[in-house]
Amino acid sequence: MKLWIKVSLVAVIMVAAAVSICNLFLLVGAGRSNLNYAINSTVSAQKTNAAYWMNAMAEEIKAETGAATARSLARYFVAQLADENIVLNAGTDSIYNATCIEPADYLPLAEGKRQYIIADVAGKSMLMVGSQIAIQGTIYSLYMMQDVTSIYADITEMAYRFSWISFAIMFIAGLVELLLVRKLLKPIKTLKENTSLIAAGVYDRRIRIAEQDEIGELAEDFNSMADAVERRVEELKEEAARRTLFMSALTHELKTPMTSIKGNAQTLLVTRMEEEEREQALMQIDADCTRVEKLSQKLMHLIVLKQSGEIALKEQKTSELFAMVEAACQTQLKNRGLSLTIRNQMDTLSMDLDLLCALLLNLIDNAGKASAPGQTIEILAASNVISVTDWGGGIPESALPQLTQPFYRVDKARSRKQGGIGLGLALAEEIARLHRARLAFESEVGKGTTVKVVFENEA
Amino acid sequence: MARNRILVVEDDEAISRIITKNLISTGYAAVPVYDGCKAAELVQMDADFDLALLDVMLPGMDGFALLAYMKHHGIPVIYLTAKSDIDSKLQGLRDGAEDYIVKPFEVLELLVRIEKVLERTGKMQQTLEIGDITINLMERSVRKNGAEILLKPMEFNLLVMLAKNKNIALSRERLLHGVWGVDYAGETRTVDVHVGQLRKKLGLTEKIKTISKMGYRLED
Repeated sequence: MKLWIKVSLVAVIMVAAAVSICNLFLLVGAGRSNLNYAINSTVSAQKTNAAYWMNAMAEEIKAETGAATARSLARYFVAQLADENIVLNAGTDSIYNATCIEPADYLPLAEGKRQYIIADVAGKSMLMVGSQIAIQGTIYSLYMMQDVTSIYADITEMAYRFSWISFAIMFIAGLVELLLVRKLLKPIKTLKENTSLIAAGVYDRRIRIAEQDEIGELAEDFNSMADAVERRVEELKEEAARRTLFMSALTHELKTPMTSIKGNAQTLLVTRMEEEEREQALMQIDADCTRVEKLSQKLMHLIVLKQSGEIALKEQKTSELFAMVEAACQTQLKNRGLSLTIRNQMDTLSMDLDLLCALLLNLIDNAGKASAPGQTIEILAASNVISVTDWGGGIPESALPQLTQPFYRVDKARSRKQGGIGLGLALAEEIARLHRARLAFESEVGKGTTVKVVFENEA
Repeated sequence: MARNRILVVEDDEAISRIITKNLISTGYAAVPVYDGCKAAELVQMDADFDLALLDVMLPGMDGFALLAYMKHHGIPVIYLTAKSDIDSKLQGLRDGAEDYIVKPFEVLELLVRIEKVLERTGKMQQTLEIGDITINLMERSVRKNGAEILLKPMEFNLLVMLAKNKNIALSRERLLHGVWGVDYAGETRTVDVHVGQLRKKLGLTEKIKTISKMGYRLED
């Protein structure tokens, strides 16, 4: 059952119960007070009549008065009262009775007490009040009767009227409640519609609920949840797109050595070749295998770095780092006819010595590839920046944003010839990330390049 | 004999070397170029090529741009690239390339495709020469030192296939498939019998080499 039906039903039932109880009290109260009024007035009328009659009788009737006379007098005095509702009996002798009812049958009187009864007589409710009066040894019973049927009828009629009013109230209340509840629960409907949409994959949907109540708060919470979901989905999408790009780049990267290996192997298998040519083909296969091996190693390195969220960094002397870097790249630079100058104005840095060394070697390698023999590569370490500068070919501005993409090369043909895999800067960026640093590139074609490693938490 | 000249534009030297080696071995003249711009310059000066193998991703000028130069000089083009995505494939063919080969490719497949393109464009040499033997494809005749030698149709076809793939080893299955056709349910033994006939009739015992585990290779 829907919530709005439940709430409306409960409310209608509550109203019905309240109205019914109120009506019942009113009805009972009204009925009782009407009846009491009738009883009281009849009782007091009987009392007055009885007193008048008794006084009159007491004056006239003496001990010596005959029974017949007494009966006539009694009858005379009752008649004097001129009330047709009065009945006078003496024992079983009905002295005066203008009604067709014999009240003694309904209300046998006890001595000295005024009594009343409401009895159903021939379809009518009759109120009978009676008392005994003893005069000169004779006991008279004086009754007064009142038809109270109308009071009961009034009560019944009132009950009918009240129930109609109750029904009307319930109907109106029900309608009003229905409208109110629907209005109150409308935000929930909105909430439901929107959640269904989000469940169906429409993540950019937000819920607008003006109410500042619990539903409004729920909507707020829901919106922040949708925000989180949307953000996460976006992230996942981007990640998937990056992966696809990476995979296609990797596939392309693998195809070149594979083509060469396959071609050479097939040529060796089927084509007539001189010994020298065979050797050359084998050497080429070997070189290509080495290249694939190098690629897979670097790739593993990159994957491991990407997966490690944080590494233990140690506060270490930068002089140690630069000594290590210098020792590692000395031979390579000498072969290329390049020199390296290091200006270290840094004292210590929290780092992973090996990884940071690998990063700098990558940058130096790139700088070396860009430089012409005889040129210098400069490393400058000051405040929170380590920069590697060369005065080589430079990088076109359009290429700068893509530099750290895996397998991106500014000059593809040249990079291959120099044995580049296309992962150097991607690796460097991962290492920088683990050091809470970022890479910044400044370059001008024909003038050279500066790569800065900017450490963010170092003052 | 004027051999078919093929221009090989491929920036990767190792791959270029494989292609050139195999082309020369099978009797083509191959000219390697490693740069798109250089290739364009070359055909401006010397357009006497029967076919161009073009890499798509080239330094200087890419393969798609080079196509215009080739078409201008009436040189049919086969693209040769690692780009296997359908878009570039379509662009290549829509622009009027004859064929498209995706790296890594099979050497034999490359040779077959080159042969088909040459046949289709009518640039195929009508005579093949191996030593003192001349094969005329139009006449379906074989001469050794000028004297005509009669061969049965299947023997002739086998000789042509071996000659077209000169210095390349062909498996018995490939020969059977190429000469007798797809539906031929014969045995590879048939190939051996016919090779024996060729060796005997043309005195090619030395030149048709049996390559163990592979098949036969006609060497010049």
